[in-house]
Amino acid sequence: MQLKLACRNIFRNRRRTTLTLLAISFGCASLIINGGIIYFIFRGLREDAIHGRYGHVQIYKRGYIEKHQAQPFDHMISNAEFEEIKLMLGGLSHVEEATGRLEFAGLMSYGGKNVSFLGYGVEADKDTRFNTMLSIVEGEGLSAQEPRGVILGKGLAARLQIRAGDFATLLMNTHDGDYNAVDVRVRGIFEGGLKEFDDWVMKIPLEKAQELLALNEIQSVVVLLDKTENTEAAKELLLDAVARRNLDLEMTTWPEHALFYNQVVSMFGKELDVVKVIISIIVILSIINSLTMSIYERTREIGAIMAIGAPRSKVLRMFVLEGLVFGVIGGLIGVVAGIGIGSVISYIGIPMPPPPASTRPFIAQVDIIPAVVFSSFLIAVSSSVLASIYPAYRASRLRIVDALRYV
Amino acid sequence: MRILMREIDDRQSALVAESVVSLRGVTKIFHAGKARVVALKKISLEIGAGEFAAVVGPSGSGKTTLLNLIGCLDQPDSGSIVIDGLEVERLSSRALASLRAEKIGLIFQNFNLIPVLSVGENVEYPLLLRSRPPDKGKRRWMVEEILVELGIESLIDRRPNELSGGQCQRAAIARALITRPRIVLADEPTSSLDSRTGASILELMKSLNRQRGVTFIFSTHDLKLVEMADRVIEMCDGEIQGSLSW
Repeated sequence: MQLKLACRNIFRNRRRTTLTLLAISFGCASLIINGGIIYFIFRGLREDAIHGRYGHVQIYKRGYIEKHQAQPFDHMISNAEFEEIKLMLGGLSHVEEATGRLEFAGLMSYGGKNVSFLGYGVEADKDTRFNTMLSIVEGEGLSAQEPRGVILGKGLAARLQIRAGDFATLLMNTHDGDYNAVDVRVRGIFEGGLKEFDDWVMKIPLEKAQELLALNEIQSVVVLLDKTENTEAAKELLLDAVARRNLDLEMTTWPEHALFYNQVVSMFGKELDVVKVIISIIVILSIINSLTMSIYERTREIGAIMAIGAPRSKVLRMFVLEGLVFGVIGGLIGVVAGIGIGSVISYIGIPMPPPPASTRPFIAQVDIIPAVVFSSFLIAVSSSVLASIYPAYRASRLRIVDALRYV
Repeated sequence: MRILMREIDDRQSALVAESVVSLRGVTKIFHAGKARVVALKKISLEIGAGEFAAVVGPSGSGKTTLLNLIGCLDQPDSGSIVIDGLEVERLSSRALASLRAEKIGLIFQNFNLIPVLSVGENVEYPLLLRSRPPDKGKRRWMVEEILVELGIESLIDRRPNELSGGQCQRAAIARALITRPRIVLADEPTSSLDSRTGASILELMKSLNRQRGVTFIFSTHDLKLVEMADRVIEMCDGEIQGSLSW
């Protein structure tokens, strides 16, 4: 009966109720759409970091993580260990692919210019699968058939004013401090999306990198998983497998490297919280207004209800229940509208400029995230309930005789 | 009025066999800004079980205030009120609500039915306010029974705005009686009705008083209706001028 009464009461004044429901559903839909766009950006940055640079999991020789900056070649994975790791990974669920990497720094010389670079020794045949977010803007990608063929980031190529097909010289120290130099051919120029990456990185086939550094080792094994959401589960399985095989390895996951992604998530997460607060305030003010007006109109009725024996707590509950009904109906409309409008936006797409530190514009879509939809609905409902408490309290504190006399 | 009249003073309570309402030295003062209005002046009154009592008097004489105090809708500034053996001033707000729900039925001048509920739901509503509400089937049966008794069973699904004034007041009486209260209070129950409908409502109340033995206390201006009462409490300027029984 209470629920029936609440539902009927809120539809007494259809115009006011419609406006209140519009405010709630608009707020809820806005949260879903805004959250959906932000999560789309998060997803893009995340996948960019994973499939453009870091992979899901990185395996290192124990001690590498702590000491690699001071002693980059002291904690290396031998080729034999790399083979054993590949064997181990082959039997693990979630693991799709693994590749070895070797990072080093050096100078690249072309046309009288010397520019420092960050070199990535990668398995040439696997690189495209590990770097789906990386696009070749000129020339072609790496090939195992051309060990001296390298690809450069767009920024690095611009600094050297070099083009695909040109030859350059790489200068670097071997792992034991000797100098080494080699002529390479620029097979292609890539754009990874992150300016910092594009300005510094050169990729070279792993075997050639090992040869240049006079090493038979790699620094890391990068692992790709079936789904990013399985990262932590896969890490647990990996740790377990490493312990069982008694391998002297340690590992990290992509969030530990994706600092830019983490900063963006932190910043936009705060922005999303601010939007949530603003929307909640809009909902609260709408509900307070609606219920306060309703109480004025129903003062004598409230008096009569208390006169026939309803305790004050029941009157309070009655109005809070009306707030809850407002929230649930408005929230449901908002969810439907949010998902509907979000889908239309995703279909059309919103052209966006490059995000900070990025080089590529993108077409934004709205990710329909169940957690965002649920939290938006929850905010609509909880704000409505919260907003109803003050009017409900006022209604429950009415003096019966005054309420019955109210005109 | 062809009636036997006997004036009973404040000591008449001893003559009442079983008192359901007892007021002793009750005073009620209202404050409107700096003005102070004494609505009731040291009223003492006993009303026995099963009485059909009318409270009469001019506007501002204190009738409504008296009914409000008996109905536990308001508290006196001094004096004591006992309703069916319970001292009202000792009860909490919740206990007073419970007392109203269990022992008192109220009929208002403007009916005060809940407009979004049907007649059946309006009548059922007080049952849900009891400390132990009957189950749904029992409630339905009780509602149908009282509506049949009051001759408005065909209106069970109608909303108050679809009813005439007389039908509304019958529904309000059904709502007041559904919990089988000890006392029914009616403040000007007929003043919103035409004289014929008003008389029929009073006759209905009277017959319910006879059949069920419920104490009815109602206020009215209408002297024709006063004739139906078996006790008349006359008020003026916040005091009981006389209490007449026949």
